[in-house]
Amino acid sequence: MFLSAKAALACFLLVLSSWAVSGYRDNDLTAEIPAARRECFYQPTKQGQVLEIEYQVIDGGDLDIDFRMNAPNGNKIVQEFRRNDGIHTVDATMEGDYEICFDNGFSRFTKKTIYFEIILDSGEEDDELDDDEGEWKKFISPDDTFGDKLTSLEDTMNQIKSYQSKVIQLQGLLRAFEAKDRNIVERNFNRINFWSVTNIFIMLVVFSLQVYMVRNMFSDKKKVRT
Amino acid sequence: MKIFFVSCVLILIVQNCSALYFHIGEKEKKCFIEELPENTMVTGKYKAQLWDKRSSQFLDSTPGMGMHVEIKDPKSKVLLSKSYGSEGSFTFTSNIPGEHQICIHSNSTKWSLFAGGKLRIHLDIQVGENANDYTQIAAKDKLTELQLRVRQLIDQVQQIQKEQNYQRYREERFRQTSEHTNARVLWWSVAQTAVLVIAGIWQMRHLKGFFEAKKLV
Repeated sequence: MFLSAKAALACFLLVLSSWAVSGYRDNDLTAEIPAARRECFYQPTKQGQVLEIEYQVIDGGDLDIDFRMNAPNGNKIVQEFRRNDGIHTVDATMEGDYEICFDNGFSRFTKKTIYFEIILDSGEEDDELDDDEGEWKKFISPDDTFGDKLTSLEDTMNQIKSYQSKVIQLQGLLRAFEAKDRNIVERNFNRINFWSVTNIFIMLVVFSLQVYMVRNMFSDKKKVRT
Repeated sequence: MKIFFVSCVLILIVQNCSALYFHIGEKEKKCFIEELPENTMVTGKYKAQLWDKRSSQFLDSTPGMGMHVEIKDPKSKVLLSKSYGSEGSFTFTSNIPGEHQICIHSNSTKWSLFAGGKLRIHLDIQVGENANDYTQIAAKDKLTELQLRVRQLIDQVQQIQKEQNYQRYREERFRQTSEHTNARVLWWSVAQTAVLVIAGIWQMRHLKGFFEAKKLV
């Protein structure tokens, strides 16, 4: 499980680093799925976008969930059973609502907490960059000495902004990993305490029972002779 | 002119209409967890639509439709518990770092509206720097465009810094729990061995006394 978490992180980093400065929206949520329930989320998309869904179970039971993704026309794109995490990409989306379902039906008592992120990439350069550039130039009187420097300043600032957005997004991902590990460790702590106390209690009960039964065997004189 | 430019800058950060949505039943409560550093502002926007059987589609702004939003901090203290209309937005700032819980459910007064119908809720939660409304900031502080962009970059860096501090706090808690577990494993093992040995000795002595009393030994 640990290996696959690292693989998932590496995979996600690879995808993240391959993006240019382009417009993308990301929406991350941490949702609680009650026991024996199925929760579905829908993401509206336009034609030709890149949709990426990344999820991991961070709390609850064995940390696994069933996952299903359906296209707007009802076709099943992905179906996974009892997985801890997963990343899926749709390269050319149809127009419509993509359905993403998490199914906790197999567990009767434990609720699961799932961190999932939906990244929608329009796949082209920001249109608003061109708008801003036009406005920017209108506002400042053209100056040959400074003109290029200001344009490069603007480009640099846009780059900084996009890199920082990626940093923030990556921090969110690392936060989810850390939350999962923390929940596992806390659960281990509780389990160790509980089972140790139970163990000692059972030991004492068994010892007392042993002595009691041996005494019982020898208490009736008629039964003593072999 | 300036407003036009500011609104162009806003396009970089404005909410997209294609927000995530999900369905909710009549008495259902949907909860989301947001792990936040301290002093982080969170803005949530939602829109509720009701399924109309007659026109077989989801309709906006049904009268009497309301949603109740409840936000709890890591210590289960209620930060916000208000009812809004069918479309609204809520904002809160975290005081303590940790896992905050955002719960949303319907408190419609006209239950007949449901009658087996579904409610579709579009939800968009923005955390930290994304939650800032830069038109207001620009208007209030009278910033030029360059200043506004630099302000946005500064806000982003501050958010990254807060998140790193929070990471340090979480790592410390993780380390404490691990060390406690380690100590507990040792002490419980010692305790169990001691109980075993003492109980064994007590058993033998008790039975020896018992058999001697019975004159079998």
